[in-house]
Amino acid sequence: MSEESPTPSEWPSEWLRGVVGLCILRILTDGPTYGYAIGAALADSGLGTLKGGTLYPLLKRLEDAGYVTTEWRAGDGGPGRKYYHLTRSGEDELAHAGGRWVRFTEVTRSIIQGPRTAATTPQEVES
Amino acid sequence: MRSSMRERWTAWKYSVELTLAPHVEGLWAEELLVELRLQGVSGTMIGEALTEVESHCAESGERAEDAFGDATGYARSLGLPRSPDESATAVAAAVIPVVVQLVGMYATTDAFDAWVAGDELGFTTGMVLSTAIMLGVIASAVVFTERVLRFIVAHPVFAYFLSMAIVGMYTLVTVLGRTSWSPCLPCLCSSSPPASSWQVPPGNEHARGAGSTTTLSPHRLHTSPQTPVRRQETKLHQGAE
Repeated sequence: MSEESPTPSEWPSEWLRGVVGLCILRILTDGPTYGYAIGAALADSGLGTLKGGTLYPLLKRLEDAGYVTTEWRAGDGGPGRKYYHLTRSGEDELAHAGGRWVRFTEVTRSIIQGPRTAATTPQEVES
Repeated sequence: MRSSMRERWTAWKYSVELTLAPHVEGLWAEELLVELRLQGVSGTMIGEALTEVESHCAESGERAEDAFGDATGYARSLGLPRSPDESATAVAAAVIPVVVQLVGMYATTDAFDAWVAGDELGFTTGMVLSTAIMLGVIASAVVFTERVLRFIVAHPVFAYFLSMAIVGMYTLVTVLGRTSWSPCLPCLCSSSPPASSWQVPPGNEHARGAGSTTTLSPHRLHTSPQTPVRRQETKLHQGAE
């Protein structure tokens, strides 16, 4: 998190919207952690810096959905930290939606990187 | 010198916010607290929301404004639930005893004069209207609590003058509904009965003069059988027969 990347990888927010929740659930499989550490882990993974204004409402939605539970713990001499634990339901969601997301990326990748075919003509596309 | 004055002023103004969240700008914290409070979110949840922002800012060294954007927008994006203590039912449950108390108090003070004089208690137009205004204001404050509070927070000066205007109207209605409007009453009374008939015990009418109150709908409240209206009605019925 301390590394200052010269080219900050800012992904379009509409891409992130669908998948950040799953990435957070995956981070939490390594054990309970708090908001700032989750943001740092996402940034370290190359997802870019997620603003607090995006991250915390998202964590709140995961909590409302029952995928995580929260617990306040004392910080290191500073303010308390709200720790997020993955629930059983969150694990199921990660397994299910995570698997779908992986297949989705394979599909989109095969489309984007797929070989050009001469067969596709405008008429065929319309019909 | 000026800046130190300003700093001291800020420290005093945002003392609560800066105690709870020293790493968050006072104004930002205040806006967050006010918005969540207006939404009726419970104190525990408001505290948690602010502490999480504080925790983030303390660790990242970012300004709350930069990391979280607009405080009001952030407060809304959290989608925190309204506390059961802030529901309309809970507000009504808190207000109803006060309303009963107020009505009882006004009834007692209004009845005092009549009690001293040994008369029956009568109602003046002013009493009825002012009570209606009071109950109307309280009812709308209960039903539209959030809207009323938002209006007061957004336009405090205007809200102050508006509340003064309501108090003024209340007083005016009470006073005007109680004292006589002698210059214009004869013409009014020719078409409608004197309101004094349900305010003053029978027999005192003449002593008080025709119409010591306004002519606003006294028909319903009118109880005395010895009034001009009843006599007129009787005549009308006789004429019809």
